[in-house]
Amino acid sequence: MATAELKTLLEPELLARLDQLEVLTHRVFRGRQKGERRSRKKGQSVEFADYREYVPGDDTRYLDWNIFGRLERLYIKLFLEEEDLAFHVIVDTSASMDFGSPVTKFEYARKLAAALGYIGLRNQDKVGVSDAKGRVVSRFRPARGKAQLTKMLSYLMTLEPGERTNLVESCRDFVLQNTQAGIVVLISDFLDDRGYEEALKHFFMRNYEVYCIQVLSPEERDPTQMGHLELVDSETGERQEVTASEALVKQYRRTVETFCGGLRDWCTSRGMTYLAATTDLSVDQMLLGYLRQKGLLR
Amino acid sequence: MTFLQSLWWAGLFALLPAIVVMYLLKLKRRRVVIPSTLLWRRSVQDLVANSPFQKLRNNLLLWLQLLFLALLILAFLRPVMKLENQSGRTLILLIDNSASMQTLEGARTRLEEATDKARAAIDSLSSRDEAIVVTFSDRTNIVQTLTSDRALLDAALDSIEARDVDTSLSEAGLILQSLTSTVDAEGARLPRESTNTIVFSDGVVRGLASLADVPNVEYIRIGTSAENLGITGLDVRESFGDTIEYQIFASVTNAGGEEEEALVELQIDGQVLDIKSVAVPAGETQAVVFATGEVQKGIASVRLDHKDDFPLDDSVVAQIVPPGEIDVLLVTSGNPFLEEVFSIDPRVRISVIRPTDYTPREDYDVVVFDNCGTGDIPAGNFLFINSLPPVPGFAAGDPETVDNPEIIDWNRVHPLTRFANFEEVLIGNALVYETPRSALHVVEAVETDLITLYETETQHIVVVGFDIFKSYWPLDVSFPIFMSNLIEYFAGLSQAGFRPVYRTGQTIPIYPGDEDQVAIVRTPSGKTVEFSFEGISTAYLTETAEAGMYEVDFDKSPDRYLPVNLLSVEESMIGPQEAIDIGGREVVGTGEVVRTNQEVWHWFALAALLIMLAEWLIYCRRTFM
Repeated sequence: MATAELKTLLEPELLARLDQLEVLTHRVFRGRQKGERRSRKKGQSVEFADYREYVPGDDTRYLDWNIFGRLERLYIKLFLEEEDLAFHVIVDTSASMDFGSPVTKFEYARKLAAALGYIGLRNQDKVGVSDAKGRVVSRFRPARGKAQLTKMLSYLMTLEPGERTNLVESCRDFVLQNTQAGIVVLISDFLDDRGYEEALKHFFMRNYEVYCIQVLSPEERDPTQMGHLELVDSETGERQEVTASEALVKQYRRTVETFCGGLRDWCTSRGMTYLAATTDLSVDQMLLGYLRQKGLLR
Repeated sequence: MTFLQSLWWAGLFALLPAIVVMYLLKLKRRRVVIPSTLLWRRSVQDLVANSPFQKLRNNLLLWLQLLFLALLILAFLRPVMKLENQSGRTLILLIDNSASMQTLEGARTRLEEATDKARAAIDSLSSRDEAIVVTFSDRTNIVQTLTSDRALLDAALDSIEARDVDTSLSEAGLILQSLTSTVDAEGARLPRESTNTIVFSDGVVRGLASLADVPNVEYIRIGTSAENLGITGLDVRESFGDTIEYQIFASVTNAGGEEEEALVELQIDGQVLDIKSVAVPAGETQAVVFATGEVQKGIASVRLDHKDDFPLDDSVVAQIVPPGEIDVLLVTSGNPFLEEVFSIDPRVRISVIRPTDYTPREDYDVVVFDNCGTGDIPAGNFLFINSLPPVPGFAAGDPETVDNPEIIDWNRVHPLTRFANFEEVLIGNALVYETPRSALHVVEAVETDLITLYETETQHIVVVGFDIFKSYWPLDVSFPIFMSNLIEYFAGLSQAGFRPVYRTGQTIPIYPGDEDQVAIVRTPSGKTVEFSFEGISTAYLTETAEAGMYEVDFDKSPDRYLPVNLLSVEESMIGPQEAIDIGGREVVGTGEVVRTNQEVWHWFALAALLIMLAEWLIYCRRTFM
């Protein structure tokens, strides 16, 4: 994939600013490789954690001879092991994401995923990216190191919006494929007839730290089309005849607020973090301002 | 509630499909593809399902709907605009349903036109007005008594049927008297000014003088057509020759303004026997004579091959009865005129006896007493000349005779005097006598009755009250015609009373055979009238308003026929009269009823419809929402 195309995802100026950031986790996860993060697992690092009694087979290099001198008992020094962080980004690629201005919701979600992935890779986190289109059909397998950046961006560039949203199937498949707990960032508009609750419940299986970023276009929040309209659903083709009077538009705004508020409350009450974004809010502002505020980045 | 203006309703109902079609037109909507209709669906549902009441907003559509409903309610309340400051009126609708009202004016008859105009008059009634519907032809009939119920009046108008008869209003005066006048304290009749009498007719009406005292008479002239060629006279006569032959006389009248020529066709029992051409000048009558030749029995029909607006008088029917012998007994001291005149008819077998030789006998068809009386007469047909019959009611007057009586009138339609003209007859001396009240004066002089007919159940008596030797009558053509009529009349009575031709509206006597108990009369349109002869010797058929052949089925005797025809010059002259003369007052006809009240509900209905259309358009455009 051409570098120029990849650069559209991550502009150099943005990269310079992203270098200062890292993904912040509020929990300690068990990693599979030694990484740059403290682990609950005791292992080999410089940071002392605890003692335990020596049992045959233990590495004798970690015996604390000072304790033995005082108590005449053998104790092993335990150190906090530094592990890698599993950082998953799920991008909704359903047809409903292909709307919005100045960029589509999908474009916005992809840029955001690219930026988050970059931050993760740069901090030696294990970054994985999946799409959510009906069910997970492709993914960027979790990998570490900045060397994986091009691959990750290339994967993101292959994604195309289309088909009908099916968050339930997408989330279930994701959970089955990614057994390592970690941070999950789901970027979607959450406009699914079957609801989002069933879908998000799947994340409880793995004890993920979940961030739900809801991306809506400004037109969706505040419609400008008035008069007699025949609205066609981009995913189902379903038609809805409306006469967009002031009263109805006012009611629509209320409905959007109720919908977003419902998602936020649902997430908050279940330990997930909800973040709302509109496509007119720049990715820079989103990452450097909003996501830092919410504690996903530091 | 009644709906009077059916035409308006029809028009409004015709607009309903137009509204439905407008609703069927789909509103053109702009198609917009959006990410998801999920939130819009919820919004619409929420908007509809929100609380049952909302704050009433100033909305143009609401006002239009209220206005529409108000107009509709007003229309149903049937507002009436008063054009004349009158109320509590009585409207008398006199509708002519005589034969001439069957004249076609385009595709509709005059009677239909008349009922429509009468309906318009009813429409103009206010709620406090009343109306009565009366028809008149040869008789006057109240179709609907006084009422303000328009549905009843409408139904009465619908029920009016035309009759193939003459027109006369002579009975109407009595019927209308109580409605159109009041009686004051001294018993004098005063006209009631609150009544309006409207005559719907073509104006050919006899007896209009009966309306002389009726106030506020309007004449609505019906029809315009005057072109008609019709048969207005018909008779079947035996020819006076060596052999018996029948002659059929038909009179053809031209009511139009130009001479007309047409073919006249004679059929006997459906077979064409003869066709003749006749040219009739405008307003005149021409006679056509057919001879039947050897045919001496059957149903004769005379048809006019001419297309006009009044087809009723274009064909007539008659009956040819086979000849029978007629026995005439002449009781005289000697009268060659009478012997000669009776012997002209080959059917007549004449016997002459002297007055002293007479004994009452019933085996003669006609007994003639010439210048002599008798003590008693049995059942039968009698002619008394210059003598009075021994029947109660007949008595000599004071003085007993009169010299040079002057003939002033004679009955021109009676079978006895048909075709006889007494104008030239001079009489030297005549009896002055009293007659029974039911006697019919056939020929009248100033001082006395010259010829009288008196009929009872069993006796038929004609009195000629003068000596024919003391008159020029035997030398006048009316003498043989009268005697022939007399023989025909009495022979007809002796032959079960069936005559060759009857006129519509005439009461026809039906004489049964000795063993007959029942007779069923079938009219030309198929209606039946049943007569029972228990205790009576003669039945009278009064339902003769239809022209055509009536069939009489006796239970024992052979069937008989009654040929009934219009034969009316007045009815055939179909040209409507510009004005009618009611007892010296001329009432000029107008084309339409002058409305006193105008219903305006249809304007409200129309306004409601327009408002509804406007509301629909605005709703679709949503300009003011």
